[in-house]
Amino acid sequence: MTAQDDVNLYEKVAVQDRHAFELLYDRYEKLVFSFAYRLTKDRTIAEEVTQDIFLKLWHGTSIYQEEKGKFSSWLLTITRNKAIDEIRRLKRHDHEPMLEKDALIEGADSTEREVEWKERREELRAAITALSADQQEVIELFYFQGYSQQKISDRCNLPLGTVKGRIRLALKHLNGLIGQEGGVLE
Amino acid sequence: MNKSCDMLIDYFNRTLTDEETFEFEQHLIECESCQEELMEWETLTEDLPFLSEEVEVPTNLKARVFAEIDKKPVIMDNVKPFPSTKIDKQPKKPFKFALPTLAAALIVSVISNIYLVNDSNKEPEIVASDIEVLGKTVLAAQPGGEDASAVAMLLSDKGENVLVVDAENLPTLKEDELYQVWVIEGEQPYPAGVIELTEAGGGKVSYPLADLEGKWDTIAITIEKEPNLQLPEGNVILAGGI
Repeated sequence: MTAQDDVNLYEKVAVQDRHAFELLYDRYEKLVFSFAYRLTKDRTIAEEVTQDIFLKLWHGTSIYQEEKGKFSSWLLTITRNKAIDEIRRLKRHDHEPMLEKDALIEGADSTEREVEWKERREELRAAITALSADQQEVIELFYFQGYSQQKISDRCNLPLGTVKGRIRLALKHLNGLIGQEGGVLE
Repeated sequence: MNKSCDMLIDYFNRTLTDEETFEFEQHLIECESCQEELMEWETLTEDLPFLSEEVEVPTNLKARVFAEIDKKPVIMDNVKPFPSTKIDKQPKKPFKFALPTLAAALIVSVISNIYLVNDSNKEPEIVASDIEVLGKTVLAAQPGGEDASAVAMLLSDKGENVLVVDAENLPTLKEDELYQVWVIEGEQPYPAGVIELTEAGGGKVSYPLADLEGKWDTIAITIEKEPNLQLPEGNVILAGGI
């Protein structure tokens, strides 16, 4: 299952090939849902996000361009965009996400793809824990919470003009650590 | 590096207002440094989603997604019965639906400006010789649409097409509601822009047709809580064939 395979399936989905859509759906449902849950901390919102992302894929409302990167990266980017939009929309309505502790259950029937994901996660987690607490926080606030520069500046007590540099440094440090360990991330 | 370049992180994190986003996207077209930097942020964060713990997916989620893609929208039940006398059908001409986005945006802007010249007139004269009216229809009020009325026009400039919808006397919106325009092919609706309110109860939208390939023949306006949904959820207030 290669990235090219994803692209072939995507092209078939664009001409409403239901079977190709199902293959892509099965391949990415769990990753998209889990990522949406990681961002929103709410199963209901994560469901809505996942449904929206796949319907946009089917209806062609979100369009992937191969020259801009991998299909999976694009899919996860639009998932994040939708999730952070939803969080922001619900915050305006005083919605408090409910963290469901029993939600984190690993399925027994892990596919090959999920095993790869798990390996990748362990490697990333090891790299993250090697960062300073400040760098971990800045990545969490920037990427997973989707904070603005101003909010990160306030929260971390950093001058506004230095926020971008701090985030970049943290991410580069993280990527460097992954590289060092000779990881499987391709 | 100018002031707009400083907005890149907030653009990436979608914390800008609609207006700021638009401004930044205009800036992005011209600023190679921001284009490169945006790609850099995308690359730097590419692996982070894989930090997510595996979460059990609700067992019926797939069934719901597939039910949704197989669903026949119910909108046509509301749309069909309008009186045919109110629909000004024009002979159809073949469309070309392949204009680049930037060109489309430019054309929309040009046509909007021309159209605004005759704002109060429901039968605007198109003053630029290159612009051709391909079709025009009056949208009829549906139950709940009260005194609302709208004119929809298909305009072409050298083969590049836009849909312009101009509405007035629209029913009052509640907080967070908006007027969504749809084009409908058979029973399949496609979102075609949100009406920009320019005055109490009135407004217009220009929408490039580049992405609306298809043989749609009906235009409808609904009240929605979110823009550009896959399928309409709110009531149809105006509809008409073209």
